[in-house]
Amino acid sequence: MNKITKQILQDHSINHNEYNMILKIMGREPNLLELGIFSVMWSEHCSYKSTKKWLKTLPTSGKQVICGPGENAGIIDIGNDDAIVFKMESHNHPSFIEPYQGAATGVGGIMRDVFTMGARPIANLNSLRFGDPKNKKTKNLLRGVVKGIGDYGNCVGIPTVGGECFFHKSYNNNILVNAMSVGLVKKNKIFYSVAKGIGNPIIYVGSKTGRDGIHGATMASAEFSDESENQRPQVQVGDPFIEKLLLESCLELMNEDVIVAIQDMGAAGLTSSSFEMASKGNCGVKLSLDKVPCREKEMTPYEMMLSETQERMLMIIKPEKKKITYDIFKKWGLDAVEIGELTDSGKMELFFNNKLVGSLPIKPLADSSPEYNRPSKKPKKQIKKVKKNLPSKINLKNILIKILSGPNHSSKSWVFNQYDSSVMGDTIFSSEMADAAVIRIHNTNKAISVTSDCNPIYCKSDPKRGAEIAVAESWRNLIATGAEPIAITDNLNFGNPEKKEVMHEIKEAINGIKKACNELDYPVVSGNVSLYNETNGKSIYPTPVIGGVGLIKKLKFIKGFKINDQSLIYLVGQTKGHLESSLFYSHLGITGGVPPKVNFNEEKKNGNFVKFLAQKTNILIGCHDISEGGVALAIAELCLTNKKGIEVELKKKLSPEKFLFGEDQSRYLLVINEKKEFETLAKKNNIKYDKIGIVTGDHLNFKDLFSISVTRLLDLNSKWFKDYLK
Amino acid sequence: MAKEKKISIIIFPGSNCDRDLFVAVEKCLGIKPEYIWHNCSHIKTTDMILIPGGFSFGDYLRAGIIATKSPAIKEVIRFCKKGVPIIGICNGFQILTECGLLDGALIKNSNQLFKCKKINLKVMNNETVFTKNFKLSEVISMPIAHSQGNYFVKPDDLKKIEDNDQIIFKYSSIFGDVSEKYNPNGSVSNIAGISNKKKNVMGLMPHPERAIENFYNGNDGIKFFENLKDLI
Amino acid sequence: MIFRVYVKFKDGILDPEAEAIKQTIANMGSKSIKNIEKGKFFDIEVDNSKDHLKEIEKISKDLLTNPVIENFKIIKK
Repeated sequence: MNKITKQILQDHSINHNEYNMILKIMGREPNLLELGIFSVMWSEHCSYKSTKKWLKTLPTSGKQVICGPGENAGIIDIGNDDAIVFKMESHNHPSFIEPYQGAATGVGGIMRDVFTMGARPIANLNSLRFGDPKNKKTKNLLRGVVKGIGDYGNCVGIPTVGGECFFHKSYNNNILVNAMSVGLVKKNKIFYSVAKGIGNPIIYVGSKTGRDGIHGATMASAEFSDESENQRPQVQVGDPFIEKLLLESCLELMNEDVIVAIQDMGAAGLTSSSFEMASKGNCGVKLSLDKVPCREKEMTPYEMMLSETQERMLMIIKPEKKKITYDIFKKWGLDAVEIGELTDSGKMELFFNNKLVGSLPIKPLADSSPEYNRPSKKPKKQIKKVKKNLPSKINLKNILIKILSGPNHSSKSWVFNQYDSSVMGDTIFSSEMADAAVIRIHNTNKAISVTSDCNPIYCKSDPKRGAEIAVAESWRNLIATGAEPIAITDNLNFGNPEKKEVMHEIKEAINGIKKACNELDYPVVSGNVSLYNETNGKSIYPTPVIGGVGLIKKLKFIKGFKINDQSLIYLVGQTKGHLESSLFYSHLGITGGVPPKVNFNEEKKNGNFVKFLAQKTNILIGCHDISEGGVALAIAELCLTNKKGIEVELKKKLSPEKFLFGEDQSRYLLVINEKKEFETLAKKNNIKYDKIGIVTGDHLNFKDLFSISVTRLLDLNSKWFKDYLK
Repeated sequence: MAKEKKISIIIFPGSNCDRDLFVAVEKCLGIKPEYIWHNCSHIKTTDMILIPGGFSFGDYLRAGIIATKSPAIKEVIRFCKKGVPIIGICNGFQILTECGLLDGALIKNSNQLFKCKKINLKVMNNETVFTKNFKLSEVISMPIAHSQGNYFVKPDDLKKIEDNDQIIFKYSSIFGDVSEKYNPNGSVSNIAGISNKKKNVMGLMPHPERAIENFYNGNDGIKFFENLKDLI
Repeated sequence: MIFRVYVKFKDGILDPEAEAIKQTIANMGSKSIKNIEKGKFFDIEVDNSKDHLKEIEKISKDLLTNPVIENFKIIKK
């Protein structure tokens, strides 16, 4: 038996205090296998030890919430016995090391989290953040990640309908790949991961176990250094065909009365799935590891328990249903093997060829993982005061052109066309055509809106406010498509929590999410935390990505970026011209300052008005909420999507740059076909509005200021990716 | 009483457009098709066979090749000899070329990337059982979604299929211009869909079953399926 | 005994992937590479009892190659 040395502890990322806790729980020194199990279960990625204390403060319940955080994914009620299962997860570190497989397996993992609960995935989204395009690694990372996501999702046959693709130097050495999956299930057909029934068989199904990804969970919790280049073997390799077989066979089995509990084997593979299922059900577990199907020779129990081989599920079934279980998996060509059973020992007992090789008490391990209250400190270096002295003559036309032709706001069709966005036949809008992707619920007259978003520039300036805005913007995006926002999933991406400034960012961001979710009655039902996104001590901008889902009760309520000839464009909401932390200022080289403030009363008032117009009137043709780039970018996007011109009259009270590029919150552009009716309704509802434009001609014409032809806009907007990837 | 007509959809492990095809057939033809699993070694009777898109057997080895070794495809070949109409869409087209029921081969897109995009198709032959309700040179639109849709055929065979009017659809502009500019994947001569010599088998890369609604990809696919009404 | 079956595109089939690989190598600094063709190979292990060549040929024709676009060559390893 290996003696546990300091080096072994270090290799397993277990510190002195954690080891003492282990000794207490075990009542003795653990062997290597047992230590390995502790190390992955207590890794940041699996245990959330640095953030758990704060995540518990988030609002997670609501009248439409069926299942909040704690299960494989969150679940919300969308009426008629239908429910939506959704979650977002990160695969940042593996994607940096091996972009294709890292991104692919990220998509695979999140889809399994959804279908393990009985839901057929109906839409995928992904939020991608790469470094500065000039950075020499960026190009290959971009190519690899997009191809990985596309190849995996396309093969499984789930439409990828939206997301983000963002470039910023803060992500030069730490890219972010956040994958979101959304599934549909009948309320009475939801499957959970609570193991029950002493003696019930434990069935392993899916790919044969190999040595891939061992210590992937601890790798995800470690910073990169210059040595990271050599870490290739730790990345998991995915096979989307096996995933498709797994999806179909599990859904088929779920139609029968067989499964007691089920969970996918994700991070920390067999270890986390078996422990979590058993601890939730207060059961003990006995596993015979020699029964685990292996694809490599002479795999040890340590390797089997820690392997992160993809496309595997663990399920507890009724003992009399073994035949139908094996028959269904045989039909689909998958290995299904009984590898153990539930006991009442409260322990995980691991056997190998009838010899006991590991024994751990389940509840203390799974439930008592360290919960740290790490120290935090607001950064000493105050955010630079913004130089208010703008250059005397700013060419606003050139700034808009720079924005529209740059990597972050150019047409993303190079990315998007690599994703199958129309398989399953229910895609109504991709996120290129509206503020959120809209997917019809199959065979019904209703739809869901789904969005994924974050502005890390705001979050760097002020993590709390930035996080509030991320939630508010997600809410606004859904409203703009005619939906009732219901709930969110959050993917929190931060640096090293052991650094006080980073811990400050984390706590503040969670506070911001909490505030906004409470104000908007928009709870968090699932989420993921990715920490240690730092290289050589330099951290990413705090990036709390918010994935929101809303319900559109009738298809006729759906709104996108549509404009008709002679439609009127109204700006709804208050514009004071907030330019600090704006896209406009960043293009002038001005950084710092505070992000705009969200007035939640305004937000709700305006949002409810838009909802009312979409659901109760026929006068709203299209809608686009305003975010970075302000009115100018939003109007330009309407022109680009529709290939039509718009004439805009600027508000006289504000300077042109404030009117065009201010990033005040809670605002929408409404495309209206009935002036009188709209203005009457707006006045009645006490809504601030300004008629700012009309759809006409073939130019984007800011009256008395500048104009660009739509043809030129389209040309400018479509070049960046082609030129970059030549 | 007229015998109820049967439309069979062959499915393989990895097929993923089968439900979309089922929905389209039911919506446009009012018939519920029957799924035939790949290891079915005897199809008793059928009036039309459809092979849907997806990644049968993961596209292992070559797209469609492993599917061709399945018992169900042997049945497809048997029914082909009887003259039963057969349509292969996307992966279905790949399967039909690999099992020799259609000429040519589908190789990787010229830009080496998966491409999902709404395209325009020009009807090149409106005298087949699949296309007689189209006008000649009519342009319809529907999406493609593939990484191996680049149709290749040797120059002599190209001449043969041209002379035999086996080219059914070509990628074109919205006005029917079939120049290379409108070729999304490098297919020889912009070919998007072809038939066999007997004209009872057709394969096409685009997805008509995804164009049956008033949203996203439009509804030209309805016309495509309604063409099949007389066949059943 | 192991038979190795090499499968390659026929002459005259444009292989953009091989072209892209050739270009990348040139970009990496190796300017003297004249041409690159890519293919795949299958190692098929059989027992030593009888002559398997005809069987390997059939497998190569029926499964491992697409005769419209690919050629094969068998060697005994």
